[in-house]
Amino acid sequence: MRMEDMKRHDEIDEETLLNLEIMKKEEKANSFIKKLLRNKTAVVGMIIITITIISAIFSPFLSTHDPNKVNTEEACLKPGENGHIFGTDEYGRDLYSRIVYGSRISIIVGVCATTLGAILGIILGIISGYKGGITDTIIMRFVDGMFAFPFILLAIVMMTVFGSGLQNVVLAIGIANIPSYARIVRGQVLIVKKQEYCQALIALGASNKKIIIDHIFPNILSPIIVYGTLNIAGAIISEAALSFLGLGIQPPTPSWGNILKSGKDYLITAPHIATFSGLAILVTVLGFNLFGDGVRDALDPKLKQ
Amino acid sequence: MLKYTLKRLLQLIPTLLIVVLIIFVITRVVPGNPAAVMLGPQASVQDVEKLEEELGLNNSIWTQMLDYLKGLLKGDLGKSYYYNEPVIDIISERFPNTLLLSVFSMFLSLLIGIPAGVISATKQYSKFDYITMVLALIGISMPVFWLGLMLVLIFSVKLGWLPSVGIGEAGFIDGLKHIILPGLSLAIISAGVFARFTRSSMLDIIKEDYIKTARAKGLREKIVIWKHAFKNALPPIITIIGIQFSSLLSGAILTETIFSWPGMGKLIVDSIEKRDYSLVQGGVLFVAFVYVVINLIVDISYALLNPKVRAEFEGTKEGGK
Repeated sequence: MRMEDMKRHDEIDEETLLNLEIMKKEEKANSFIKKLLRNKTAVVGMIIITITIISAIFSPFLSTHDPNKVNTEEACLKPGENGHIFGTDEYGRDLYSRIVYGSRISIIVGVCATTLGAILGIILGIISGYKGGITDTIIMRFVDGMFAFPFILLAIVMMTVFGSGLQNVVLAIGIANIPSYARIVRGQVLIVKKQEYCQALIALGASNKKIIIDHIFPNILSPIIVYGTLNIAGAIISEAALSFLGLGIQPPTPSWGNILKSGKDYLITAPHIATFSGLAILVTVLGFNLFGDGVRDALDPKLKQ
Repeated sequence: MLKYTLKRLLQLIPTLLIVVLIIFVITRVVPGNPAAVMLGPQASVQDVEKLEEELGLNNSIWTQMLDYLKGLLKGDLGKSYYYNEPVIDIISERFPNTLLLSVFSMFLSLLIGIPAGVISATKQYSKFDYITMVLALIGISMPVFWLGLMLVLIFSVKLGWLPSVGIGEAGFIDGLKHIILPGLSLAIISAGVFARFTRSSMLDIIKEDYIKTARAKGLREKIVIWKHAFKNALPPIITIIGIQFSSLLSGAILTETIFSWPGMGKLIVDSIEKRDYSLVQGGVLFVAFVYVVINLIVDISYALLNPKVRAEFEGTKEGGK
């Protein structure tokens, strides 16, 4: 009877602790969201991102024309002519519809390349920081080697090898992103590992898996979220740069970068092609940068206001 | 300081070896036979075999790597297939142009960014501060290749004030006219970074007690800001200057293609189109080398300006990453 009571008592205690932990997490999340929503520029960023995501998902409903329909009789029409809001490109394709569809490529590449780089970088960073010793030296020297390349150059060289296409763009930008994540995560792991509670867990014989998943990972999340949000903006610009150089997404698939590439060739006769496609990149990247700055401020414990 | 510099120089060796390894592996895993890719689909089997022999592609990968490393030690980066000239000669002709463009842009961006950041910090939350910070963020978010095109559209196509292509070989004024647009397109973006960074660095310093003391002593505000605050906000700004110089180099890759500026960026992009892999390999390796050297200079100058960092580095066994 006494044993059963004790068991129940333990269960209740565990349950209370669990509830307390959940409440703490919810409180933290609520305060983060409150801080974020109080930041006007972050809200502007959020609105821009939402519009871009909506246009990517609902492109078929938001576009006014078939983005790939060629009509040479309507080539290089100015904005507003013949019902083409942003005008047409050199093949007479509706520019507004191509830009709406182009948001799909930007969002896919931005999110997927960032995720790929983050996952691989986090794994490498955790192994490097947690294991230390020769493993750390090998991984970090390799990361230093990758850091020695200007980001876009690394992506360009990889695209030359992989060949063009959406999948390869994601792969090239994602891989080129790995070193930044690996360095950030390694630094954070080293800090967390040195803290007393972590040392105590190691001394108590807790498994590496438990320490990493339950204790190290939650502590490295904040800088990763901040960097990741800003990194999406960088990935969008990189995709546009690769497509602009003719190495990324190939026409007729519309991407803001390849629309800009054709806009470059028709800069004198049809400047609207380059202007609108570039503005789409600028506004979206600005949105992610504003939002990223807001996330950083909201997660920064030093900034109370 | 000497110990620190030597340590950083020694760290450079494995990094550069890994750089060579990465480039070597990447250029060797090109799908298909690199010689066949370089010669194009119309090439005969004999031509492909001849080029394979010339490039040493018949040897094992290790022999190729060793030969390449031996060549590198002698300053030999191979021979360009397209230009039929040593890669190092082509690079030494093109690199000064990229350097010139980067230095010019750096000068312009510092001229715009640093004063904007300092004034923003001294007038925190004023209209000037808000406008500068919004402009800086727009600058950072702008794709350099689009900004370049827009500058061409406005200043070359519409106004006809400045030339949009080439480097200008008819004297100083002609050269200056040609460098303004590519230089400005790179500088605007970097100026945004400098303005933001200088502002936050200055804000940290302005709150310090010694600045309050300087003001209490009755020093003029200009002297307090520029001589006391700015001087102390400088070390982190110098790091950013180094990082920005590296990104100017990568930005130049894209800018040069728009303005047909005969530098390293245009050379690499052109050689990718011409499938001149020796030139791609050599060009990328050279840019990476410059990148590493700039980072080294930044680290050393940061340590020189900030003895705390140096002491930390020398005192820690794990340090330096």
